Amino acid sequence: MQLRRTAKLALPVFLLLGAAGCDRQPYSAPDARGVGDVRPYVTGEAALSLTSDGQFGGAALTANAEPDAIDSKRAIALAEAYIRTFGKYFQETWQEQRGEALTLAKLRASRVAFASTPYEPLPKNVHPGLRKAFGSYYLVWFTEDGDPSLLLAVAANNGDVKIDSDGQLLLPKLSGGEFRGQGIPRSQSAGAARRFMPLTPEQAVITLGQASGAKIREVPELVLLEISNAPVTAAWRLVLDRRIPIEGAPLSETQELLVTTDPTSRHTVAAADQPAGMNYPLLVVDGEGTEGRETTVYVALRPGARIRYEKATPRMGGGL
Amino acid sequence: MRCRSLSMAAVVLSLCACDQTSVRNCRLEPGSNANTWSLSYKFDQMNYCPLPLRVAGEMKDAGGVITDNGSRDFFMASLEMKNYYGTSQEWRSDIFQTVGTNVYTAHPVLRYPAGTGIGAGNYPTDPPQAQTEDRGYFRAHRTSDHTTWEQGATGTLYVLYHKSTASVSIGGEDLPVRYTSQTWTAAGANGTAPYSYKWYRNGTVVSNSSSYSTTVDTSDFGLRAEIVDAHGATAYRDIWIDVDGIRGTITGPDIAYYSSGGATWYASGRGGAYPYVFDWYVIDPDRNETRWVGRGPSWTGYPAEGSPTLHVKVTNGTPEHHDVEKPVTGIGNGECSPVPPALICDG
Repeated sequence: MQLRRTAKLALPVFLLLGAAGCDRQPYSAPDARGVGDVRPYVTGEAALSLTSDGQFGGAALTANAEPDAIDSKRAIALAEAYIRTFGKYFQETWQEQRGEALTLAKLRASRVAFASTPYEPLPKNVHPGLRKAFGSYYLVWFTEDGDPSLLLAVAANNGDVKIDSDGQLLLPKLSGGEFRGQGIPRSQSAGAARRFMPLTPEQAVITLGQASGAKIREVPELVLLEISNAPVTAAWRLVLDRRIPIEGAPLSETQELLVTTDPTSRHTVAAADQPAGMNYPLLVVDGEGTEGRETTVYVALRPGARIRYEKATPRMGGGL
Repeated sequence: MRCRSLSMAAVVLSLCACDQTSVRNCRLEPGSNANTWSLSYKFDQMNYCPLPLRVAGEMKDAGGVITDNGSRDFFMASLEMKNYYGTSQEWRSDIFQTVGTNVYTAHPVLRYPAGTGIGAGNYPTDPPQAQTEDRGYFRAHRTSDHTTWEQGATGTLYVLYHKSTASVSIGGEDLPVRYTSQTWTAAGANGTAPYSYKWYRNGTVVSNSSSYSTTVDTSDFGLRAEIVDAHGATAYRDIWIDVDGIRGTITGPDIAYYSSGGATWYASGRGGAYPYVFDWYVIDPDRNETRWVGRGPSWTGYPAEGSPTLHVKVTNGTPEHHDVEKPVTGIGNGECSPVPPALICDG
């Protein structure tokens, strides 16, 4: 489907990183929706992690990567190879989600962040594709002509994914869950925007800061939601400098909220009752070349991890 | 794009996967396992496509979106492609996930070298050449806590083939003289070394090395050099051996000017026995005539105005001969041939 480009996206222009650590690019002007400078809304560690451009640096946004994860530079390289190799299969879907035509060859990686899984690693005999799906991901933002156009999740456990001499992906024989792309709606009314409008960490901070009057104390951290949610829905976990009143949730106040990709439920808080784990029907393989069998596997949550969240509306007020 | 169901089984075929094919909105059908629905497809290129499916090493992609139209009926989607030899299989497993809606999708992809797939021949007794199809299937695994089916699932599958870049060249005489000893050599390129070689003469294997040597008799024959690179990519090249055959070539300008007295063309020959005799003819379509204009290794003259053809018949005293032609353009009187800038031509 070819969609006519009708308007520029009213989101801030992401800065081209290209690799982890390349986060000292000039800061662009505030975006067209009037989201201003992030600096009035941060304090403590969050303020210290800002680059001179007023953005959270790439190193800060990937500092939570697990030791056995691929690094962010590799994640970007794999994301680019995925688009080269398999983008043609999803271009139409991504365009529908974006509400605008995409030119795959013009997509450029602009930003990367690490999204932590709430799950403990799965047993080794679970199909590798499912083990990746339950693991952590990098989220890589792609722009086309400066407009954020595609959000691509890259499994942090993609150490076994190769790129051949033609720049094409070579996947392991038993695999899956390596990538998940989603077109970024070009406007609030475009494509899938009604339920998916991802925010940059700066936008998330400003949104919550303006709604609560509090400052964000820690570096924003992407966290993955329950497994039925695609990794591109990872939410920004923000810790405030004080407890703030909230409405719409059993809790009356909190110091920690998630800023989600869902505009209809932009802020959530962790539910009081969190499971220690869940049963899932998973494929188990006893070796390469063998038939798999479906069995129920108990998947434990990491200590302190959450998968149940409740919608909440932050209010002004609160104190230290 | 085709989407066709067979009556005997819940199978959807995707035919003609030459370039890019798709199976759209084909419903997953109940499988033998109560918790599994399948969308099967097979690639059957042999009768439809210019690229042979069974060129080993030819990389193939597959990928697509499977959508659970119900409320989380399915948990996992698999995309499988089994190796013909049974030594390995490509198997993707993805989870149906959502992006803020009640629509759950899985996005399996795979990329694998051709020469895989379940063949129509009998494994392992039949050679790979017995394969006529490549087969794989999606499976959607039902969530165990669902007791009723809602709208099932649909799959969108795209398959794209990439042709191998491996190639082979042949060196050796294609016009040998009878009762002479000849050697032909093959060289693989653009693949991954080392290459293995096989020579066929009129369809029969005659050598498993990079060269083939024989003493030719009086019969013409066909040779095929086939290579397989380190990754299983194959390529072949055919050459026709014309015993005692001769070939001629004409060289010279494409345009002849009457004002310059025409031009000079040269003929040469190769193959067979010497010496060669070159008879020159001009075929003039405007006058509907063919006239002999001379004999020898070259000819100078103005053939005709318009679009005549130079024709040379090469003979060597045997029944063998070869005819070669060269179209030329004749520029008649009143038009000028290119001249140095200092000169003026008034026509």
